[in-house]
Amino acid sequence: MRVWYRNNRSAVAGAAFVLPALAVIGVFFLYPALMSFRYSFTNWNGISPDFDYVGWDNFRYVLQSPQFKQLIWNTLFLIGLYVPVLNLIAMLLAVLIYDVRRFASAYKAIIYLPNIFSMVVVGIIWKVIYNPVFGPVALVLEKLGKESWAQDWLGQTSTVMPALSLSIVWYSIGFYLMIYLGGLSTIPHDIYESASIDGITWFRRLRHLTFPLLSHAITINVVVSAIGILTIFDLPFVLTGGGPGFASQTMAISIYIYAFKSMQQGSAMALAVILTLVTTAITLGLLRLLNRREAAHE
Amino acid sequence: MCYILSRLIKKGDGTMVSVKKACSAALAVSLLAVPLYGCGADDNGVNSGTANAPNAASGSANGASDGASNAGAAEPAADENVTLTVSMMSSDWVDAAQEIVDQFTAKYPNIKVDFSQVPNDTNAEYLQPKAAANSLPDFMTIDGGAFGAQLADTGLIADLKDSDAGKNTIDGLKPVFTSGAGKLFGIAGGLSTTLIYYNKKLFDQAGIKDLPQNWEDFLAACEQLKSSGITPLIVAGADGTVNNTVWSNGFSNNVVAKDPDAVKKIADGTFDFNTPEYADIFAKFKTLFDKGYLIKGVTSLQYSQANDEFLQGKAAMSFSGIWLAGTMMQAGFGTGVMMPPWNVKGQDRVPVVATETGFAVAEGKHKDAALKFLDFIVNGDGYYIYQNKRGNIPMTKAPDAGKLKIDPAVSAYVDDLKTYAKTGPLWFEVLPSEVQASLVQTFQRVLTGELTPEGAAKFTQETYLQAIKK
Repeated sequence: MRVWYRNNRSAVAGAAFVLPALAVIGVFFLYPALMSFRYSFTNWNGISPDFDYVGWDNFRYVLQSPQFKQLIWNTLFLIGLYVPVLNLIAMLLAVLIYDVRRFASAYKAIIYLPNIFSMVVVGIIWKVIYNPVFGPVALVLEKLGKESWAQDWLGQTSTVMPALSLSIVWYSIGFYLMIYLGGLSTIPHDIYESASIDGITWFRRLRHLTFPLLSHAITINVVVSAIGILTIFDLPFVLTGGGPGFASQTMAISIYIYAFKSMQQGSAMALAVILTLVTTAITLGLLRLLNRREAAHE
Repeated sequence: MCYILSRLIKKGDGTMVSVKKACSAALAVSLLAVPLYGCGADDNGVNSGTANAPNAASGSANGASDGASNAGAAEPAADENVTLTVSMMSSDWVDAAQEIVDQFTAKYPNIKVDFSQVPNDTNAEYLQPKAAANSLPDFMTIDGGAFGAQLADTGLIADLKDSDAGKNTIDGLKPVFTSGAGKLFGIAGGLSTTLIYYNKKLFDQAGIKDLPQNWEDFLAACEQLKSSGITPLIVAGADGTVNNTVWSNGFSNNVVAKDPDAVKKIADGTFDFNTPEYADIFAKFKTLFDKGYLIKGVTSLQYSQANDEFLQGKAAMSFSGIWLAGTMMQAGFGTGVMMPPWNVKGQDRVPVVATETGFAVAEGKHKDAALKFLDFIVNGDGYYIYQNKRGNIPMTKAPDAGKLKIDPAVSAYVDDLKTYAKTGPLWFEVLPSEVQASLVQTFQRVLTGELTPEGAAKFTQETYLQAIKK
């Protein structure tokens, strides 16, 4: 035993340190995930102690529901609009703040500030901002004599998703900005000095030096923002409740409605399993694509 | 563990290293123990949060009924210190709720109340996960209908039939709070009805002298207000308010008026929602929307915002319920009440007469203390704090009339209600949870043009059939 321990003590010590974290993950994430998978094949209503196994019925029910196509569309819209726009703005702001340097800390603090709020608070703030009767946007338009321009931004199918995306970008941009700033700080200055001696313009430096050298940060941010937007719940739930109709319903909101309003835990878990598969597929796809890009730059 | 520690420490060389490793190992094991301890049995030996092994074709979740059946086994002694968990959906009467809690704890110093306020429209969502984990609050607010009945029949909440509060409640308010197994699972918080509050000042300004008596008159009044530059009506279209008001009145006047057995048919699974009468519930709302009679932003408007906007004088009418009388009648501009004229010309009106969100007691070791709280809020001083704030209609058989505060206009309205032969229900009392969950979205889809009223009726029927099948 002692010989075995002597030969493996670093592994044992490592395991001892990792074990608590693994236990927490196992108990609070893995076990519930496995139970969700199990319940996705049942008709459990969330209250009754009894349930029956119903095979693939819940998956069929969810996939054939009238809102499923809308959910997929909303998910694609958010990934297509939110991920590139958020990352582009965060990256440009990071480059500007990094270049300007003056008041950099103040800019960082201001942009990061929304991120320290609860998403629920952010939802309420934006709900007031968008209110077409007494919100500040309506007030400004009224003062400008353009009262008719004030819309029910959150109540129209054509405007709700852009309005929602704007509030999500406002909330989360600070986090991604920080990661880009971290990435920028790892780029050696002499590369930029050489570039400026060679007379390379700011835009070309950005395109041919900064972006490629930020590829690690881009990979992290794109993947994290894609996962974040796929599983987002709090802000859209407070802001729109998924409405009007299903126009801004995310998969997470739909899971919540199945589970806690409709009392169909089985269907909720089925959709949760589908969401997990979709998230995993998109994340792996993005990682593969971005890693290939990184390898090409290196 | 001690042996391992002593063996490590006794080693001659590298003693300090061994002590560090021993401490690290002990820390790691203790950290591991914390989450695992949380999965162990609770004080009553009832497993919590895990599912029992299922049979081949059926299963059992979380031992909820076990917990319930063990309940009451450990009743605390009369003067034993008790911490009572209380959750109430009291956004409309938050100060009164706190005052009730304060006065109750002053009366029963050995009972400490841990009070949580539940946001409007989220009571079932708040309670359901707690029910699944067998950790319901000792005392809670609950609506009549299927959700509470399920909790009662699962053995999670108490049968209040023989409680003082149960005996003192008006019999007509009990059926929707009675489960399939005959348990009285809740005490209604009052008699409930929907009504339209109107701003007398704005009505005068628009020259409206007589209150509309039917749908056609109502549209004419709205037109008159609109042409005077006044927004006619506020309805919160993004939460359950639209169901409380537009759906419940539409269902009463369009469906119950012609088929008095409609509610029974819904429960039996034999009702047909895909009819012109049912579609007209949505059509009426769409008409108000298309004609510009509803406040801007109605599709995304929520209850509290809607109430604020009415109190700020942003519109002439607010479609709401008697549960808000205490707040709405205090407005400085002078508030009147009228019965929603959802009936067509020549047809008798069918008002909504239903139950307010009520109160329930969980089975468990604090049941006695929770029953004391129930008695305090239904029969004791707590009731008058509650009722005076809400200004609603009492649910008890013999309240002290001298202590009740009901606005004369509301009293007259209630007297008028008694003259109607037919009445209709509130949505949550009759609809299956699957239909309830999609009702707001269905209204929104009609307003945005995604669904026609007929399409909405068809969609409701499909959802209903799915619910019946499940």
